[in-house]
Amino acid sequence: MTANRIEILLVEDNPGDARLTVEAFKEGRVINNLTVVSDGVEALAYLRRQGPYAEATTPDLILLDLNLPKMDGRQVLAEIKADECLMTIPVIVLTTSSSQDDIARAYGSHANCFITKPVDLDQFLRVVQTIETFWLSLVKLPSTRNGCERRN
Amino acid sequence: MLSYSYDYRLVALSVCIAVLASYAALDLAGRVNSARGKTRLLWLVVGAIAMGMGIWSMHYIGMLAFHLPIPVQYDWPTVLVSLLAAILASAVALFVVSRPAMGIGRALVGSMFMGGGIAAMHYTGMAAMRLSALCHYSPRLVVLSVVLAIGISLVALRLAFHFREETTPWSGKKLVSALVMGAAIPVMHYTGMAAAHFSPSTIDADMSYAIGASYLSVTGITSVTLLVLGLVVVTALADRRFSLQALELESSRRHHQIVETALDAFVGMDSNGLITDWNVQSERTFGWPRAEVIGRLLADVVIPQRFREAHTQGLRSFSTTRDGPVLNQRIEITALHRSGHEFPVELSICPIQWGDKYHFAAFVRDVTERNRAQQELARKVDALARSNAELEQFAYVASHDLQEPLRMVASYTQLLARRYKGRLDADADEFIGFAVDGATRMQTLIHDLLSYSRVTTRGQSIAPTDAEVACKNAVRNLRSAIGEADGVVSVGALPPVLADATQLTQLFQNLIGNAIKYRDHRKPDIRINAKPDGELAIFSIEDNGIGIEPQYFERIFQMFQRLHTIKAYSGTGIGLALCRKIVERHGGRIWVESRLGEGSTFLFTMPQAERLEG
Repeated sequence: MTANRIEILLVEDNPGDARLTVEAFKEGRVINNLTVVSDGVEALAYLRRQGPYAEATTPDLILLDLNLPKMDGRQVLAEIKADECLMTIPVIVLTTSSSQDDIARAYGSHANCFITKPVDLDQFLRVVQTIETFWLSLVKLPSTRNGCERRN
Repeated sequence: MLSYSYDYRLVALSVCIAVLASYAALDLAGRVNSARGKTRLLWLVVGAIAMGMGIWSMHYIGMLAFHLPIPVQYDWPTVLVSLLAAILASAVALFVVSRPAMGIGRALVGSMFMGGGIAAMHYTGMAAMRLSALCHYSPRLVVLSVVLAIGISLVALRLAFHFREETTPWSGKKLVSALVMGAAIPVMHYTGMAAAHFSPSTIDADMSYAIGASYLSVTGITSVTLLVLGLVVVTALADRRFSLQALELESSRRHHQIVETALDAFVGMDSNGLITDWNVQSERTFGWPRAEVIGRLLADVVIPQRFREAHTQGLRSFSTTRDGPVLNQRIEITALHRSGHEFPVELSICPIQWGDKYHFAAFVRDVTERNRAQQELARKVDALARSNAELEQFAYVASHDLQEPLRMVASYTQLLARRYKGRLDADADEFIGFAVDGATRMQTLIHDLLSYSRVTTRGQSIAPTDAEVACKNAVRNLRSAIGEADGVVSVGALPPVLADATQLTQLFQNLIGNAIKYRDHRKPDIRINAKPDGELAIFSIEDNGIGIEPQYFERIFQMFQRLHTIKAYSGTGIGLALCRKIVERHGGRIWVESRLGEGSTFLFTMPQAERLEG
């Protein structure tokens, strides 16, 4: 692991979707390390370095699906934003839902942005590219996490 | 010239007899009219004899009232012939007035015969005179008397025809017309008499069959005539009474039969609640034979225990209020069968007043089967509605859930194409191409299907909506397509309607979109207008595109029906089906008017809103 690598956590239960996102990032220019977990419980365990994730790296960006087994994305989001050590990590809700209710609730839980997955591949690739350009190149992200221990 | 004088008492008597005979004639006309077959012929003969005798005796009493200074005798065979003439004239008259209709032609012919008959009777009677004098006639007066006879007959026939239906024997109108007729016959007679002049003669008359006329014979003729006329009138009266009774009897028998054969149970009840009538159907409906229920309390027989108190209460309150909540209307209640089971009946109860007493007539119908059928129907309608809703929900869920795996297929085939195009062989490229194309088309289909099922499952509430705003929104959404086609869309004044605003916009968008899509070489010129039609507004979207052949006017509104290949015009064939579903959800109708090559006009109706809220 190199220090300038961008760490991304993708919370997505559908392996097809996960792989597609991985592939989309592969086509990008920013070198990144994308980790996939497939449910909400696992996501929180990863972020809190519990159990098998004791050695996990705190991500620079979280891509979160809403409909997840065990604990759904809405609750995961609420937990992250309530956790002093995790709340500064930008969370991008990336879901097939476009319901106003989901959008409002996500922002209410302090999601950093809400993106509906386009159906078309080309558009999806463009969305991932935009995420990359905006979140991984354009914006400045905090380097420390409220004094919480950060391992790279 | 012999001088003569009249005995005015006899003249008066003759007039009286004429009036009486006329009255009998009017009365008889009615009897002849209402009788049938042999009875009719009998009445005609009896009537003709009576009336003929009346006219005839009027004549002879009139003759006896006429005094000449010389003795007068009568030749009796000739007198009999004159009587025959009077009877025949009367027969003709009765026959004419008893026909179903009397036109002016028939009346004229009848009066010619009748008048002619009376005149013939008069002059035959004159010819029966045997006296030592010559009788001369003044032609003008003779003609006048005959004309009077015919004229009087005409009036008499019309009057008789008019009053023949009169059933009351002593009606004022009938009396007045009898007076007119009765006065008229002597007028003819005395005119005829005025036409005759007698001069003394030395030639002896043929006296071989001559008899004298005396007060005794006057009394005889009068008595017989009065007797005959009286008998006839009395008989007619009796006959009328009897035939009325027969009619009433027949009518009551007929009513009884109607009630007996009715398919509804008929139950009669008196004001004490006792059963008075019970037809055959009642026996079938309630299981009780008539003989066992007549005179029993209705409540004990057909009303379930728990309703008896209410029934008795109702009867009691009727005796003071003359009304009740179940009377004079169709109601449905529970009835009791002899076997003890209860069943639903529909019934109507009407109170009938007979004198100062009240009766109740009830028609009852067993509606067990009907109710069962209704419940069955309701159940089926319910099941149908449920299955319809389920189907819509299914279409929604299916198309929604199908989207997910399809997205995978589409995405990965697209990724394949992206990464490996030109790196495998030409076949692989083509196969991948077909897979990508199929997946994309299926995505469009599912998307459209989802929109279609959303019309009812995800519809917004229907409220007053500005159609003009909805239409302009649709035009705005389509601006790039309109721009590409270099088209012009003109929107007229559109009224507010009761609609789901989103769906109304979608409707306009689909129809305008079609108008742009199905264009020919000309630049699209699309006009949107509306006109009121009662409580509805008819909207029209008129284009100058390719048009549609009439045989497809219906088909284009069906789901997945397309008239063109995908290559010529893209689309899934759901657009117009969606339009129809939207319009029908709003209680409207959509149709097309078109000529191939000249353009199409799509029309739809939507309920108008009084005004927009807010």
